[in-house]
Amino acid sequence: MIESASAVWFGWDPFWISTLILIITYAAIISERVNRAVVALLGAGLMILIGVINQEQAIEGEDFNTLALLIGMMILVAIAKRSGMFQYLAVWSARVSRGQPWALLALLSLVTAVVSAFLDNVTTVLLIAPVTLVITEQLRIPPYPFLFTEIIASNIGGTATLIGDPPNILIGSAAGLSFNDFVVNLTPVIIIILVLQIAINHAIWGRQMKGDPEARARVMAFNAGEAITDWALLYKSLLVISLVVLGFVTARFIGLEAGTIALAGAALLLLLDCWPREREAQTHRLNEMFAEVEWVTIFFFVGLFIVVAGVEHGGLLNWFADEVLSLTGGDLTTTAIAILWASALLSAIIDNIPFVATMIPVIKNMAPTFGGPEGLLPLWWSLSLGACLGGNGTLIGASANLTVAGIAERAGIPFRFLTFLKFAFPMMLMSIAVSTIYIYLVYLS
Amino acid sequence: MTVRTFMTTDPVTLRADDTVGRATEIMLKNRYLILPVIDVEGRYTGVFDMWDLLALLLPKAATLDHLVPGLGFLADDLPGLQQKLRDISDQKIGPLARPDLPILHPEMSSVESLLLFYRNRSTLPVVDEATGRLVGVLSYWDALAAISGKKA
Repeated sequence: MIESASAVWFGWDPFWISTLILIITYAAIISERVNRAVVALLGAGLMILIGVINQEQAIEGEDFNTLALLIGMMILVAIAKRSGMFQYLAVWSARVSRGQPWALLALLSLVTAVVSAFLDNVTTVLLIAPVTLVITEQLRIPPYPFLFTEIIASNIGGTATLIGDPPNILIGSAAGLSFNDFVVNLTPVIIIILVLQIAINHAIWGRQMKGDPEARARVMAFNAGEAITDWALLYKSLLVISLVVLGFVTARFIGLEAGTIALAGAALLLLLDCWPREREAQTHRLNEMFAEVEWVTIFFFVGLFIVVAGVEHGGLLNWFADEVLSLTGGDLTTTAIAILWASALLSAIIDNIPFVATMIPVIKNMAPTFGGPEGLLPLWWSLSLGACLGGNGTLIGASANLTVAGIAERAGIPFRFLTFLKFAFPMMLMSIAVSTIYIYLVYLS
Repeated sequence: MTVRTFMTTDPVTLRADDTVGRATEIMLKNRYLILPVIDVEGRYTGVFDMWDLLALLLPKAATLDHLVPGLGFLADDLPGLQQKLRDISDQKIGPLARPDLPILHPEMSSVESLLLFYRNRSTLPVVDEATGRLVGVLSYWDALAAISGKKA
């Protein structure tokens, strides 16, 4: 903080100038006039150019583990999805539910949540929602309830694991929390929330939907095996995904970060996928796979890490942590619940990634008050539950929501902000209420 | 040689208030892949082609990019498709006309029209720039016949 102060232009106070850059960056991200990756990279450039931090500090701010984990998982999914395995799951759900709409609604929620726990939420809904539309059209039932519940389920399921949602990747990486830590601490409460959610969906939509016998017969005639488009690729993908999950589970024991495991897994699957091809076809295939990495997200993170490093060095986050603590009187229960609810309400409106990236150093700064890093655990879980589940509150709360709305609109199904809000916001509050009870009972009492 | 010299004048067209059923009939009878659509004043509004027709028979989601890898899991359902064809046959062509195909003008050069065929792989409408009226259509068969000096 002190050593960088002298380097700032015109002797400006690094605290104020870094705060200003952060506010402008946030405002520009929210306005969506310019792509968020461009905004974050510009903000990062400004932090360095103006001299709030130097280049070495900027590089220290980068969380390469998060970047590696994101890129690795994106490559794995880009390859694995070409086998048709996720479409298979949706078709399988239709068969197992015997064409009963209420059973299909519950089963697709479950499948979406489970897939989403291991894949990025946007990827999950991109794979499940289009097939859902085909199935509901065959059943001649309204698709809206299905798309709605898939959004909610993807955000709930994504909260369950380290790799399910970017905020968890950020939190896990920064706080040194393993894949198993997330499974042990978050999966139980997520299962409770998901079961409640499925029951609520049933009460609102499921019990009223009837499938006519002729349409049900069509669904009963589905051949799920035909949904697999490439069996060899399916086996290769399942092998590598199993190895990667095994790696995550044993990460502590083998002393590897999740990012290393994911990237190594991606490399292995690329090898298995490319091996049988001619050299030119390999290059072509590789280009296709790399093009599927969401570079906008990756560069958004790259810029954001530097912006956050800037405000951290400028002293804003330390100040903010002190303010929060003085408001909550340094009481762990009050602080945890405040973080949970504030994260949820904010994430319903703004992108949860910049919010979580900013909150991580704030929470780290609270360590002395709560007796070291160990004492921060309830706060990390509160941040994760709030930021991930909060995304369900509105249609703009998470990228998966907008992705589904986009697909629906293109398929001629209206997907409106207020219609979504009417059910989604109370459901989000329900999930946060359950999380509050869970956090209180397990960590605070 | 300009487009005017080898285009087909007085082509078979659809009017905005024609139905999908009529379009299907014309396509089947003449083996046409693409039909220009005009409004009541004879102005060109777009095209309706075989792929637009097939898209109407398919589940909507399956026609969005490649979001659905395949439909192999659906059981064969000829009666279902026949029912769907009957269901869509009363739809009006007007809202279905696709205006996104490039249009040719009568004075355009033959090389330019070849390039547009190459890029769009389709018969193209010829439209009078001043009035917006459809004056003909040009197919790659017409173009090839004109260049080779043989009849199409």
